[in-house]
Amino acid sequence: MPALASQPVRVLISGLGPVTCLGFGMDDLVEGMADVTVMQDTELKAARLRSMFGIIRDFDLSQFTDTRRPYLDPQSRCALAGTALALESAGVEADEVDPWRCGLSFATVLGNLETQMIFQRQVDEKGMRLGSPVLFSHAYANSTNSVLSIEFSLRGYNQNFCGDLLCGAQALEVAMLAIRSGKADLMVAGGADVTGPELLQRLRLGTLPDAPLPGQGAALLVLESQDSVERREGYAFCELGAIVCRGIRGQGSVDATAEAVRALVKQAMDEAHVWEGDIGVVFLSSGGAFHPEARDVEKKALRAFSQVPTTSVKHFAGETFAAGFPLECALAADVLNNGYVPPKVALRGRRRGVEFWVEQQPEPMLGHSALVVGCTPDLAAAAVLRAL
Amino acid sequence: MSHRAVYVTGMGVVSCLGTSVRQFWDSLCGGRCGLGPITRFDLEKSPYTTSGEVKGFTIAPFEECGLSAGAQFAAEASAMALADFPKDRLASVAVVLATNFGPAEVFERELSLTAAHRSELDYSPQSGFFAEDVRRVADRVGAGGTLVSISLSCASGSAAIACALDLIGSGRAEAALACGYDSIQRVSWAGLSALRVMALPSDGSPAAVRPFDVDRAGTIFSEGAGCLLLESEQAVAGRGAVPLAEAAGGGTNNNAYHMTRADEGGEGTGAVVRMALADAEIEPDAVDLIYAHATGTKLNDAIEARAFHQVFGQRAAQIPVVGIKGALGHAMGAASSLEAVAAVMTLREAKIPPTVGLRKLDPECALDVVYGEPRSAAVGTVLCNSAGIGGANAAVVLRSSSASASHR
Repeated sequence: MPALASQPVRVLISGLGPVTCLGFGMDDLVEGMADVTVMQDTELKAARLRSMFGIIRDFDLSQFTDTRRPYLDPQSRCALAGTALALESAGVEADEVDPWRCGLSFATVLGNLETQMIFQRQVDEKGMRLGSPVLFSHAYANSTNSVLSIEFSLRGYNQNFCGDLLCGAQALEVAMLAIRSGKADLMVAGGADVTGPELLQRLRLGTLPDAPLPGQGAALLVLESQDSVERREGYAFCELGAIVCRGIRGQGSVDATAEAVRALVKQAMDEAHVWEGDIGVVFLSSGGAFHPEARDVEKKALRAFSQVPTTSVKHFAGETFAAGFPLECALAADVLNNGYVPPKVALRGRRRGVEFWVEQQPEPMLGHSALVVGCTPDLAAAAVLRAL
Repeated sequence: MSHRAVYVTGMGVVSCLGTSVRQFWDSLCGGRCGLGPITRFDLEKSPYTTSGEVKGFTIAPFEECGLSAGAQFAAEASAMALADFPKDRLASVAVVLATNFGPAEVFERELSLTAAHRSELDYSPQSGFFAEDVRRVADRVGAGGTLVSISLSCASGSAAIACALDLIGSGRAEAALACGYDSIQRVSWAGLSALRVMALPSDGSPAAVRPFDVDRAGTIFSEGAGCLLLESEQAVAGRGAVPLAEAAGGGTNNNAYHMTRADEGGEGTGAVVRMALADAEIEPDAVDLIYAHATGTKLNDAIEARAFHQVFGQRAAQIPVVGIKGALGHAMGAASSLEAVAAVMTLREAKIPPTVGLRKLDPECALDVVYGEPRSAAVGTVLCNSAGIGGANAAVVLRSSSASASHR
């Protein structure tokens, strides 16, 4: 394994909090993926109809918090559950960390549009003078960030990203940089986007041909300096060797863009001191999602890894927007911790009778690192996670 | 700590006090106030009728230009900041945009349309996403680097600077625009009104923002954009640019106290100031001037003053402090960007603008607040402090080129 001497602060992933249509927490996610053998008819119909796919069901916020609130946006609810799960899996006790050294780097593509929609309707119906201050305070794009900060006393370094489908990757990157630079010991980082069918329809999401179906999701990870984990005698799933996001606009062709993504992957691997042969599994947070051309870019950029088992949570849980990249990272961390290769979805017949099935991939995993890659027309992101 | 020195090499301003850095600065130093009646939409008997609408700037309809009003401000300010930047290097410039409401009016209009009307429109409702603003601003100015969209309520502008510092300091970017922006729109105005933090007319006088004044009665929201072009030391040297100032450090945090109520202890403000000072690798004693958030609300100004006393001790009463929201209003996502621009101008011109609106200092805010007339003073290091709804805090440290040289 390459030396880590040039990396003064090692950043570990010590907590995982995925919330998707497959369930709550890593066990639900992994079991949910493994249990699906053939996509159900209803889902095939849904696929053809381009309607909602990954709806979170049976959600009970009281399982995750005792705090009573007058109102919470659906996104805030799921993000709150994700953070609770992440901190619980990290085993972080409030009295063993300094809240001013524990921060939050959160991302959302859509913001709290559900609440914004309700607030606007209220103003339209009742007039400008009668908007609810509670609703308005939960309609801000950083409202979920504030809810999480308050609930979990995350008083340290804080950022709130509202960019494209890879803003969840940007949240992870900045969290990692905050720990490396000494601004924080522990960062909760990730993203969430939870909107209902009406809003998705209004925003024409999931209505494009060849687009994956939108899902609801939250994925929060606990990133922590090695010192912090050791100080509290905690456990870590793996090391976040590197995560790098970069603009890839204006390259001129798919080949040139793929080359830029390839260079980004190399930068991330160099930063993490990992070689191609170390990569045992690849996760595609295909931002290609809503941009088919980005899928071509990913495919070409990752040609060197064509023999490496590849999968994407997106195929099981839908396009979860800001939660997408962090979800892939959460699964990657679990895979490295447990040494298995997750299943993948295969797909045949794109026009009529779309057929999906789940393929189990070879076990055990070869290689000690995982690569997570995503790209959109604007951005590319690559994360390299290393087994401990 | 940021690992590499980062410099401010360009600036741009769109505000109710002018649409150039010079106009803005001269207005601030001249003690002028840019606030006036709202003209953009029907107020429906709202008592809050005063704002700081951008003047001397034509907002093009979204259908014509594809940019929300706020994004048009941001694009203009960004273009100003890039005026002297070599065109052949634009492809690598990152764009960090920060805002409270972004393109909210696009989404607002989408919601008000019927399905029939919607099908007639030649635009995607996804234009209402924050990501669209940053993409379109980048397209407008030709910047091809990483795009980042941040929303940290009224601390957004400083949060953008802090994020750009992270990107450049870590070697992930050589140059980045850090731009805070916002525009006043009907639905967000209804929400801001509902928060009941805005000043109302009193005793026959129009509503005014009076930072640190004993009779302060609230803030007044305004709009605009402030942009700083930040570059690594190597990039500046490489193209032979002359830095305007050093962006020495930044920090952000959250009070983790309440969605709308302020934490009266001021711990969060104190902590974020300490974080920014540590990032700049300086002690509190090095600070020569504070551009305060100073919204003019009863509670927040007192809390901010308390926090400064916690950080700076007895010296807090001797450090000059200025608040520009009396002149400019509270430009929300643009507020702390505009304050950073003013801070850079102070470093360059050795002049501190007066705190417009302040008539009698509140003894609870025992600070050396500059008011009445501008003050001449050679300033080496400025702290800019900001805060926002939901408990967000952000602070930035800016240093003069001479102070930067002696520090290094």
